[in-house]
Amino acid sequence: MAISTSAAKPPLGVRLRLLVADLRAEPSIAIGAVLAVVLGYLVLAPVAAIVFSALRFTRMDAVRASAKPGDMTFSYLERVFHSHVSVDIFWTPLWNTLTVAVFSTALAVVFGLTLAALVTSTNIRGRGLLGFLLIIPYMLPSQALASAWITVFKNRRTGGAPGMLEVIGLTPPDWLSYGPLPIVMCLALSYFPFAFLLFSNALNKIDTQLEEAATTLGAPQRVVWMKVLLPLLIPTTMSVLLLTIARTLGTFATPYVLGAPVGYTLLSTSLYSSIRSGASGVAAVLAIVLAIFGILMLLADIWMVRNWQRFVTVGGKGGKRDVAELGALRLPFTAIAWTVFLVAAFAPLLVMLLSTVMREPGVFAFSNFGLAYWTGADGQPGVFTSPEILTALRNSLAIAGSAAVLCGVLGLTVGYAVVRLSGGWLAGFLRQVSFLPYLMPGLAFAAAFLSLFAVPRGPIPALYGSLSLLILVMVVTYLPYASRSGISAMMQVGREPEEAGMVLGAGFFRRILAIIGPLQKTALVTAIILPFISGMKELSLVIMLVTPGTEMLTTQSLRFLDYGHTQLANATILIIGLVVMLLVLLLQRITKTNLAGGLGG
Amino acid sequence: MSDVILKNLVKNYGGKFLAVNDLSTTFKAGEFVCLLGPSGCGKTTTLRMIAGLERPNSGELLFGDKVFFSSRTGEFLRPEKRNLGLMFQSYALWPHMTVEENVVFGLAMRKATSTEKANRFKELAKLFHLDGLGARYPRELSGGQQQRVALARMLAVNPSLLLLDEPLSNLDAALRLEMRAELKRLHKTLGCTVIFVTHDQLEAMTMATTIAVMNKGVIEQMAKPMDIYHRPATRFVANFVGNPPMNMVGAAQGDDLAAWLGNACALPARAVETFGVRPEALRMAAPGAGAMEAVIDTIQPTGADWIIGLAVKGRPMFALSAEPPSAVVGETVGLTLKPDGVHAFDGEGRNLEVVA
Repeated sequence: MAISTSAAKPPLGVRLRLLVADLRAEPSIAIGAVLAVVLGYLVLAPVAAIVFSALRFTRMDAVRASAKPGDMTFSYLERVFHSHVSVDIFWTPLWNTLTVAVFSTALAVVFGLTLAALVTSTNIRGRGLLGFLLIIPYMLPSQALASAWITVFKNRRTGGAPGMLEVIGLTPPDWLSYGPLPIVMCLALSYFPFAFLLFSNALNKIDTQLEEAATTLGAPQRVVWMKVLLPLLIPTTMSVLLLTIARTLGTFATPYVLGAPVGYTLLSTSLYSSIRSGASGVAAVLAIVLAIFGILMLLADIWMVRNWQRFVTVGGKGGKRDVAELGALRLPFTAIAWTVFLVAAFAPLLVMLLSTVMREPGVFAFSNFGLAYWTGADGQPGVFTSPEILTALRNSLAIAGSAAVLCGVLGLTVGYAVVRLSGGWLAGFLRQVSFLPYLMPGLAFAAAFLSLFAVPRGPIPALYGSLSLLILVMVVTYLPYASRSGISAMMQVGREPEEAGMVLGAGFFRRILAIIGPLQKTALVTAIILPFISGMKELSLVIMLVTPGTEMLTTQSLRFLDYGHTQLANATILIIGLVVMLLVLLLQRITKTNLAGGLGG
Repeated sequence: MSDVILKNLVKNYGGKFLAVNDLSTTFKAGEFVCLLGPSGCGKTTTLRMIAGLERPNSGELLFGDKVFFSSRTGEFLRPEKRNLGLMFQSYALWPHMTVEENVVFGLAMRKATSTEKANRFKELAKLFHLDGLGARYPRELSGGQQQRVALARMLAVNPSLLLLDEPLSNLDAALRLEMRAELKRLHKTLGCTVIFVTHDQLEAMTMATTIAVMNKGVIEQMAKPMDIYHRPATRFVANFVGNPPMNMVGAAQGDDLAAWLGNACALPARAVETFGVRPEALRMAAPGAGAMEAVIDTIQPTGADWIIGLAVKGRPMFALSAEPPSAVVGETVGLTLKPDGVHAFDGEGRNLEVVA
């Protein structure tokens, strides 16, 4: 008789024994479970918190509306989308944001593509050097270009140190000093290195056999570009467009510095003023709108990458592309490429540096130069003695440093758990939850963290005003990059080296110490330095969370600009640039690479 | 010396993909067993379950009287405690350790003294021609040397069972021949049980004392190599082993060709669905000499023999001949059959001779 006994589950005791054996044999299960709980909370709770803030009365508003705090309400939604102030806080900023995003992205793509083509595929002069120099703007914090712009073009509309042009008697008109034009220019110049990097990579990866096939069929160089190379770059172009637009949506420093004086508001600056004025419900709604835009862009990008597989051209035997001889056009194109470098990197740096060593801006007399702004003079502290800058430097190093170490370790741990548990649902959850923050613009995420940790939550005390809040928000924001590189580092090593140790009798800790650790040394250092660099440059994420005791270099430079201390702002930005440059050099030394590629965030 | 016993082993991934399906078998002590099958057939999963790197969902796994795994009692012996040797397809040498450090790692885990370790390395270095390479790093070695380091590392701790996961697939053809001989010799010297996973039928045929052909998570046939070749239990085994592969001819049409083949294997045509003909069983003769005729389509000389593409009653077949063909492409030849190279399979793919 076929009585199915095998289908019956074994008794509970047996199943428990197996579970314990499983956990002992595979510690990554426990590690993965802890990570899932912690990351799940840190990533999902802020999102939940901000949705709550958007839909429930705050204490203040409840009194006004004679409701109980925490009651469900659509009044914030109404205020943002359909009220007498919604034009000012939402519709105009939305229109401005879209305008700025479209124009700056288009310019960034044009610059990036042109320069990538010139540097990778033509014989313009100094192409090797340009490949590195053009990435410099990427190493500067986002307010650098805006600050340099202000240093030159500031007019009498705002107080503080006057702009260089103003001093020599040329008063720039408002449209040149502030508003959409300078914002678009500054954003385009600071984003094009990203496009340049992606396009250069794509061009270098395209199998040259594809071009050679066209050439052997009689196509001249121009036709090869128009019919083969440019069409193959379409997916990269779309990707660059979407990612740049997504970044523009969340950008804060440039529109704040260049837009605020003339009341030109973007969604990001509107969100910031809502937070500053205590309208947390409105801020939550705006943050959600920003997040939704960001998510749409990135989903579109993911969708496209998946659906444009037919353009994948990796592999093959194709070698390096022969550089095109430009002939008579060589000089003009060389000039164009170098001009972009001069305008985007050299001039801003020079302007910022000059402003800090000139007593009167724009006066090029020998007696006007001096180190007063650095050493201090007339009872005013200089950069080296300013308590604000020193505190900010200490904070920046402490916050970015701790966040970086945490991020690096966390990223590799996530990588370890995902690789060991690959195929299981826990690995899938870890992958996804650690990727989620990537979808949220920093400003929106900061707003979410603010609504979550401004008050005590369970065992976690109110973190507002503490360094730990800034560290935490940074760790979570950089987690997508950290875990992605951690996963790929662990994938590369694979499971086998550890399994070889397992079979030979090495326990878990022994395997970590003797095998995994040494194998991932470089990956760990890289995983720490990269978020360190991003953290030093970070502004939009932290601007809403810093308090007078926890200012960082980036936020401090913005305060200086607020007060019209252009020189101190520039000096602070230069310090950031210097630290970042040192970190990049360190990274290159360690990883033995020579391109500042892969700088996340 | 102990047998490896598998009882009703089941392994699925994520509840969806059934990698090993109710597998029960015994690998006898001292055998050189080859798990042979296409990728995805469950052979590597079976090996990894024996090593302890994968935990079965249910069933039992014993090594002699030692319980490796049992879903009945809830026992699971961790891989660290199983004392067996495993060699990976990639060798999995640790790039940050020297050759000597790699080899003596297992001894270090067993708290051996440094003299013991040094002596053992000397012994193994001599056996595997690694003298003078102890201080080198794996990346400084050739593929063949890396493989011998992996072998030495596996054997350093005197494991009672050797598991090899496609260890020859990264070697070039000449080296592969040499290593096959070396592994065979090693098995003879050590006398221990070896379980070897491969998708290469040549490796399986040349080295194994027992071949287990796997397909879709079960063993289709387990037998001595020559029996696998000459008495394949199923159509799958017949098709998988042999190069060029067996010619498969549908029997349903009831035409001349099927009748001719049915006649050759002297089986009542009852439930034959497919006939299988080994290429070397197809012999060419003068036109009209055999009961069947064919037109030569292609001739591929391999050096030692000739692979001849034929059109037999309009159907393509391959013949393997040690003699040069007597006719040229396009000409008609007569065909005769060597009866022991003809097999008949039923609707479920079973070999009717083996079943009977």
